Amino acid sequence: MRKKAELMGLAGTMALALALCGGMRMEAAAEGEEVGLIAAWWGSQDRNDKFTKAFDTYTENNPNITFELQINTFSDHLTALSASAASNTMPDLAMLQTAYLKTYTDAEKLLDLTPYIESGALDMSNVDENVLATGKVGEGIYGISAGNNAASIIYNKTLLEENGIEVKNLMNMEEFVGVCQEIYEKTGVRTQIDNISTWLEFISRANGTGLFEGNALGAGDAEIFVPFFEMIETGREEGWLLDQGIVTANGTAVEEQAVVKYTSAETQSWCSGFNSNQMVAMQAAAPEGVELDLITVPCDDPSTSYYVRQAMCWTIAAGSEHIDEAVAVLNWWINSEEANAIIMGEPGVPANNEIAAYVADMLDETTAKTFNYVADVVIPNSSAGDPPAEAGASQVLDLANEVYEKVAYGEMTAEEAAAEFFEQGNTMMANAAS
Amino acid sequence: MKTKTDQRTGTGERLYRKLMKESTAGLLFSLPFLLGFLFFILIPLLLSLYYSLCKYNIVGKAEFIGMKNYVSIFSDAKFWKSLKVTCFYAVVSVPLRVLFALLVALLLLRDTKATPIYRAMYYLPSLLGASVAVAILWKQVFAYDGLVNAIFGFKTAWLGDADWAIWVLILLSVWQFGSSMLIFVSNLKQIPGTLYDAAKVDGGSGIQNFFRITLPLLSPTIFFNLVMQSINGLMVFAAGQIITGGKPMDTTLFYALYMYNQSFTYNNAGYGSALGWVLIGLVALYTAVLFATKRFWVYEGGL
Repeated sequence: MRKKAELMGLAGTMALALALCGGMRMEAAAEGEEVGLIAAWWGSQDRNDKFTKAFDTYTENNPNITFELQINTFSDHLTALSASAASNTMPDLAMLQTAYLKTYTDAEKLLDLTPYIESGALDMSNVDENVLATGKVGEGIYGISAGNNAASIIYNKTLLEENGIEVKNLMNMEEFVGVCQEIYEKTGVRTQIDNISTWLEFISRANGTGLFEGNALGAGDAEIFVPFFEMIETGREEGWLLDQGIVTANGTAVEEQAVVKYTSAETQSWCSGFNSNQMVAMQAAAPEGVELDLITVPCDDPSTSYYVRQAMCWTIAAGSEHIDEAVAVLNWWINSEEANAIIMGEPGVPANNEIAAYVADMLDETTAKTFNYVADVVIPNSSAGDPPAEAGASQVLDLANEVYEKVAYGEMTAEEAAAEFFEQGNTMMANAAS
Repeated sequence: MKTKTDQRTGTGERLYRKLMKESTAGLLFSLPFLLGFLFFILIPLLLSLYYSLCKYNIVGKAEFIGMKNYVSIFSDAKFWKSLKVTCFYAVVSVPLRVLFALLVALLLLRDTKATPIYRAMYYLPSLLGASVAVAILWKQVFAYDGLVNAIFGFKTAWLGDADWAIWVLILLSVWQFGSSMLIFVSNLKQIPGTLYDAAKVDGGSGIQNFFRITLPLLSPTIFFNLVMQSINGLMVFAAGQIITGGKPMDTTLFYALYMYNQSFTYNNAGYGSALGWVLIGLVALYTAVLFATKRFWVYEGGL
């Protein structure tokens, strides 16, 4: 009897193994009709809801196309994406920051969309040349802008109106400090300064270079960064800078920023630096009765510094088994009123001009503000963006936050911070290139 | 049974005999582990050894550069910083955790009706692990306007304070003492009551009993817990990744977190792999030292 039991155990195990193998084979056999696409992006809850609904709608229209959605936070998205690239299982459709395009095109992981644009499968006739160009690497087009937006300072309009404080667009740093002081004196509410790399980038651009130039920082010396860090020192000494401990403890999620999440003046900030499109998510997380609005990031030379960001783009994997289907989805996503009536410009102003105009009429108040901000404030005061940065840039962006943190905690002077950013930043870029 | 087998001939017979061998069954049943070990441990381990000698960004192809990654590790300030942070964390949290586990295990030794419930309750935090839920809970409890400040009247954002953030993570680790506790409980139960009865006859006090009987007989378990928890402590990752992200000012930048940042955030997987192998070396060294001290304090004489 013991032997019989053993034999049955073995048979059971083998049957299970066979069933598992068989299951895999069956899946492959069915791919003729039913197509399963993987779509991946990062974002806030607001974006996730809208994108999920849009993909669901596509499946309703085309029941044979189903989607597996891989949704992550920004850093987890990049981790998952690089792991999938290494194992040649890239999502068919993936959203990527243009800054990261080059890593993937160098490794030939992304599909050159040019032939599909030429054949008309991907209709780009209503997309501006300069918008299309942001997805360009070398001769090929690898990314299609998911939406245009711009760096901004998102602020608590209700608070400022109640206290008769005025802010305006295109302020320089001195004017900005004046506002911060006034708000602190009148209300006790402090200022959170973040998105540090953007401040440093605008300073570099005002000085005639990008934040990066090839395998080095664009800045010729550390001096140009000193005034920015001095502003932080001043804020710390005068008390209007929000305690860095609170900023750090809050974390980086849009919904957790001190401009919308606070319990007292001590933990509140009147503003936060994010890309314009993110105001929608931030407004959704704001306490009832608080209206947010946005202004430009302070700098001395707006029209040289500012640029329209096509930071996010959609890409298709070179190794995708369903390229035609993925292209069709992307075409629908960019050009159809149906899709964009759901997405509602969440990642920014749609790349397709006609669609942008179509969506603009239906927007809620908050999203309309972000559209108008890009169209009426930034575009008239901007110049062309810089080409995608080389490897090493992501480490330098972290470095910017780290030296800022040290100044904000009072562990480092402005001079030291500027010098450390300049020296270490250049070293990191050089190391990454060698 | 026998007659049925005898009827089989040729290949069928041979296959049947092969299948009926003990070694076949053994191999088959250990196959899940063997495959898992091969694909998820051995192959990645060897790959990472190779990548540690390469410039490799995960997405692209690896380019062999020899020992360059290892050489640059030792002049990397963040390497030393993260090593310091991790060692501090392990040295403080592991003994505290083991001590705490032992104390609670001793308390839970008494057999009352409620004991199983208490045991389950104290084990619960360990089940939760370093999950996102615990991270959020911990973040809120230690926030500026969180529970801790509300009760004790402090005015600190604990996780944003360079001096205190690491202690919040140490506290989390000590709080999750459950698995060590269970091992202690089961071993405490195996100490024969006759030893205590004998001690009673000789007039031994409770404290003497603990130090002369319980502790020596428990020392192998303490050693085991210390080794296992130390290794876990040195490889701590999730708490730093989810709760603090290494902030503020890298005071909670655990070694494994730095390795992760290098590999995935900065796309230096080659350098990250090299960091990994240095960690393996350090953990091996640490464990060897711990084993060398064994003969001075671990009682292995049996009962």
